[in-house]
Amino acid sequence: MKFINKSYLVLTTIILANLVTVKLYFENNLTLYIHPRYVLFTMIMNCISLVIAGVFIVTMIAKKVHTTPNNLSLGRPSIVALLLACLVVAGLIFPARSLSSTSVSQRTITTNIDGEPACPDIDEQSPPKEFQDWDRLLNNCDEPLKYQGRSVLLEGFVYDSHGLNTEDSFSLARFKISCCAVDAQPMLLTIAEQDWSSRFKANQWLHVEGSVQPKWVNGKLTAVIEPKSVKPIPQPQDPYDFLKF
Amino acid sequence: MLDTITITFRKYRHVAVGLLAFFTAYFLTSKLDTILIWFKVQSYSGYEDVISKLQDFLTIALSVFIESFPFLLLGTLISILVQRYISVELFRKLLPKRWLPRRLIMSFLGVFLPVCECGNVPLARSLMNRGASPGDALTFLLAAPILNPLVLLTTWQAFRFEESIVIGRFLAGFLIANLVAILVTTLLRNRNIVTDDFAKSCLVDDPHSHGASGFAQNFTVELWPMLKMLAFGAVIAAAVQMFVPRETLASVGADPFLGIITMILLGFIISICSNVDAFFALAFARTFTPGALTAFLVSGPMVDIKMVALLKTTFTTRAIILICSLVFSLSLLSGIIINQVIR
Repeated sequence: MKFINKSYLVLTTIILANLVTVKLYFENNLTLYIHPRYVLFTMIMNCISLVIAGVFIVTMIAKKVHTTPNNLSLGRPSIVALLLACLVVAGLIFPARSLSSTSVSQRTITTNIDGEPACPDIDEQSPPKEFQDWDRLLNNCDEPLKYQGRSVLLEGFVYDSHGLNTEDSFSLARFKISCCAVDAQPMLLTIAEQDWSSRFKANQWLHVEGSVQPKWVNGKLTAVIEPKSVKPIPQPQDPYDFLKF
Repeated sequence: MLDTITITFRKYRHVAVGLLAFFTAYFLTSKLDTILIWFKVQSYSGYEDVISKLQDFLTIALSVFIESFPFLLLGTLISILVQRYISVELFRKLLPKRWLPRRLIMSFLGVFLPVCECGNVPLARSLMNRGASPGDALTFLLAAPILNPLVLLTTWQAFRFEESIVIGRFLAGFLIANLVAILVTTLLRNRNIVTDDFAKSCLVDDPHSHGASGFAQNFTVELWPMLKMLAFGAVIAAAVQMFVPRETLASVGADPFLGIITMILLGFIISICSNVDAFFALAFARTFTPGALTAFLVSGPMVDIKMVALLKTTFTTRAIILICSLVFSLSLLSGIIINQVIR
């Protein structure tokens, strides 16, 4: 009888673990945790697992299975099993969240390099649109005047860093992801805006429209974004930039 | 009637308490924002930061879990197919008897199974179950996440401007996987490598494993220990990421020797899938030397926090410590050699 109780518990936990993914998928929140390229594969595998666990549970009920061969032990109840149960329940009951600006300070601010010139000319046929495009152009290039006057449309959140922000400029941040939230890397762009701290707070999502201009920030001439308008917006459906390859 | 209700309630009281706890927790979390506002008024200003850290911790732990879970499921399915349809005799016939060609086949088995490293653990278990030695299984386990076409393609895409990293990754991956397997089997002898529980499970064939329900039963029994350890690995990886700032690691990036150690440590902490780790490493190309990047790309897929947790289902603690130490030292050596070669 003990085994049957444990088997049901094990199967329920496996099913609940599958349901975490299914729930996030139907809430359109799965991409807060993994890159979109994995969504289809993840859903297929979780559905297969649900069917198999379902078959097992139905068979056990139908055949009134009360025992299992000794060599197929499911192990003793342990702290690790409890940890799994807690993680699964937390995934089911807590609302899905993207990484916050707290994680920006935990992660190195890096810039991409892919063997191409640090300051490439902008292709007029496909001008940079995404945050990661501007991050690559402005943070890789040592020529602050190179992209002067270029129009920029960006969405990101306010990163309240005492080291980077000044009275008339702040950092707009966004995470880029190559696999899942565990490898999220923050990208930062400087927005020149007077008296920003009285209007915006940390983590607030903003839509910024403006142009690239050189400006002295912390004693260094830097390519910053001089906004025409800055509007608070709700967090977008896809708060991360997904690495394209 | 009352008696029936009382008996039914007594019988299912655990389920009732569980459901009550679940819905109470659900109600509280659905009102989380209101509760937070209340706390913010009543409490001190650092509260918001703590909540934000906890939320990020949960997001990272769940992301590792959700990303790795399907690969673990796929690996478990393949491993059950191997156990059910390849008999021990057939397996012996298929594999060369001579040591060298057998290890070569094990090194390149990943070419046919381009899945994430965590999916290889159940498969390595089934290989041992079919009669492969721990050394053979270890060679496969360490080589497969690197020596497969998908990883080759993504590494080439990311580092086509620095061929030494691409070549270095695959050459070092092959050599380290084989060297570690040889050293571990020589130093520990075969019986001290796998746990007693796993060794026993390899000796007995399950008489009830026929048909769909048998398949489902095998699936559950194979998956369960690894699922538990995956959750454990995900939680530890998230905790380490939250409390060890990457800035600390990056500050030593420029040093050729310390840079390699740093990237090996980062690979251990980050627990990222080998299919895409080259793109993650790309972001560090300006700060770190090619040797450090190669060491990250070799060491990370072989051993990381998540993998150590999964290895614990099959290998002894002594074997895992030895595997990790050897992978770290040999990756460090490969990083130093690459830095010397391209200087």
